[in-house]
Amino acid sequence: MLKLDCRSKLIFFFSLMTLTFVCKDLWCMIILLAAASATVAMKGASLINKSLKIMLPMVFVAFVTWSLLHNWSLFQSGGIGLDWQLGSFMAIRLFTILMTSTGFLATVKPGELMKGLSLLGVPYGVVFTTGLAFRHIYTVADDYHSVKEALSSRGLELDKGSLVKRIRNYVFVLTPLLVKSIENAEKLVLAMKLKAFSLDKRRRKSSKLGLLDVLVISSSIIALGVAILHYWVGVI
Amino acid sequence: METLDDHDLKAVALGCRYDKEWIFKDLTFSVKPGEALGIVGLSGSGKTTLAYCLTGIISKNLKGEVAGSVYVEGKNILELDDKERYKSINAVLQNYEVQIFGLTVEEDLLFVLENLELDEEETEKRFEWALERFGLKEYRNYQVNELSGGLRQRLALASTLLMQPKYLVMDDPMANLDWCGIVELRRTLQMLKEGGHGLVIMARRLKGLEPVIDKTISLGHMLARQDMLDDVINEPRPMFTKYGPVIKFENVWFSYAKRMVLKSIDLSISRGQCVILMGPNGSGKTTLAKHINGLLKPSSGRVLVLGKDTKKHGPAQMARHVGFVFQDPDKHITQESVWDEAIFGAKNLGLNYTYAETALEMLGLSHRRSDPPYRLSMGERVRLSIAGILAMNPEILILDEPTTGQDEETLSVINSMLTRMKTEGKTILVITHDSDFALKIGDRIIVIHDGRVVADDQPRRILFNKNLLEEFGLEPPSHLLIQSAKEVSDHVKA
Repeated sequence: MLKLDCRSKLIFFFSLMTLTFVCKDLWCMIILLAAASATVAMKGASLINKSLKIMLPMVFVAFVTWSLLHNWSLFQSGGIGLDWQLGSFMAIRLFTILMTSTGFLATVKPGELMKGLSLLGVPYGVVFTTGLAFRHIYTVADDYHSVKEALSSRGLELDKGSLVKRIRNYVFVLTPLLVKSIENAEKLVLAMKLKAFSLDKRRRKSSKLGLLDVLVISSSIIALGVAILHYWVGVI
Repeated sequence: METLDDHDLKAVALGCRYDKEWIFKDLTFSVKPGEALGIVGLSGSGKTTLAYCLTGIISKNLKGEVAGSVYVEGKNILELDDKERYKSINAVLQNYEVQIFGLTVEEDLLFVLENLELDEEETEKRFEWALERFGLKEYRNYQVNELSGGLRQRLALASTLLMQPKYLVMDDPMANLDWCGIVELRRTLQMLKEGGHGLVIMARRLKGLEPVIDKTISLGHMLARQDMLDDVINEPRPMFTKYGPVIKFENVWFSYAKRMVLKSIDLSISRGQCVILMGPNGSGKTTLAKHINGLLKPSSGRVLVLGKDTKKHGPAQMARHVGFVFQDPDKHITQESVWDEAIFGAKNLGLNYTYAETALEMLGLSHRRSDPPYRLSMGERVRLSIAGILAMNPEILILDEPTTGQDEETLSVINSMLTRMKTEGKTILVITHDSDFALKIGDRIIVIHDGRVVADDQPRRILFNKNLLEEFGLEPPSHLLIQSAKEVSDHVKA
């Protein structure tokens, strides 16, 4: 997985995530979960352990909720009825979604995502803007951290008091963050001008796909196609 | 097209204003290929505006009235199309963070080359040149956020030079650099000069770059910094005063992201002392200071402030005793008026506003109390952030790089404020690279290097010790640089 071409990774994860929503079969979902877990495991056992610690409580809550309260929704209440099978299916689906997302974040670097999207024909404007957002997430995160530090050094207790008070206190954090981001955006536009930026005539050097890439891409597309035909169209 | 007959960059009677008042006017200068012009000006003197004028950003991309003209190789830059203009003269702006567009070093360099629409061979050639010339080869696949500040600045410079501009304007390239960074910048500038690039370097001061600067002009009214700082070297107080320690570090270790940032720190700071923390960027100065107000907790060992173990107290609780003035005032302005901003901390702590009144007066901001903080100049905003801390009447005051990029008024106000606080018996801790400022106000200098205290002595003993300065990359005081220059000149004469 780690050595695959960025296009193969994107197609693989896109198929895996879509399959999670398309499949309606418990065993199918277990296979998808195994595939997603394998991608996470490739990054090391510690990531699996860390992920399980965070995910398992959520999965457990989902299992109990779907098993007991599956007749309830925002607009209607239908009383309590046990459905362990539905509970298990929905819990495994949630687990698969979480594992797929973790696998994606662990194995696809932001640069690979941009390159992959570009090579798959997504317009350059969209790819560039997404890339810039990724690039500046770190700057905004740093700024957020500094603002929080500065304000707590002025006696502001951000994590104490009622919920309303805490929300109000976080407005104080957001104000300088917003001003700073607007300032940075203005400077960014000027810097783009200085580097003769234009959206026209963009090209990405395409590299040849290896045998493994072809295998991953074709099997991902076939699996997705078969699942759609089976579950949605009802042909197979 | 208006033309002149030479290869120089020429600014003729240049002026600029955004509203009624001219920021600068009648500025005339020229730079030859391979020459470096230093433009010295304090914060708010118009350095960035001048950089925008020289590159044609004002008029073409930003609103503003420009008087006079700028010529490169005889051509008026406003008559050139964008690509031609930026190949003639380009700029590296002060905030290099916003000039990096790629997620990795390679992507950022390719971003510029793609903009230039060069053929594959030329793209490859320039790409390799930039990696080689700026020592970025080993960082080629690094994520930008993994790079140090110095490397990011180098990347911003490399990507601008990929456009091969004949003239390069650099807006305050020394901001936030430590002495080693300045020495490295000097080498880069020398390399660019040798490559035939004409340079315009704008800075608050050019200390450390003198050998590569061929001529200098000053922008706006300059108060000689020497007058403010160098005439008096502080007569330091004894290392340990009779009052006993207010801050105590007991075998403090601190690790962050698997890196040991502080190692075995044992320190004791007495009441009423003014202590200067010095050391290269990333050595652990700010980390150490953040332990004093409880923002960071030691991984092992303990920090006692006024007898309180900071492990048991959060920064909001410590704010009653320790005031921390951060470097960038814009990161903590939250209120709609100067007065509300000044009393923000006191209000959080439930204190009365008497000290806020005094602080605003002492820092020369009383007359602006109902103005919105974002209308203040940079220097005034720095003073406001100090006022906000003084309004909490802390016993210990920590200032992180208070002199960086300040205007003359702010520098002199900070000086007198610190002197007054010292006489009131407050304990002061200043993090700075500025050795002249350290000599002026410090009683004691603590040098941090690689997370350890490597020197702790009176300012004179540290800053006039050439071996120590060299070993730990500290900025030499102007006295020493002048003396060295004199010795070299005497030697040449002899």
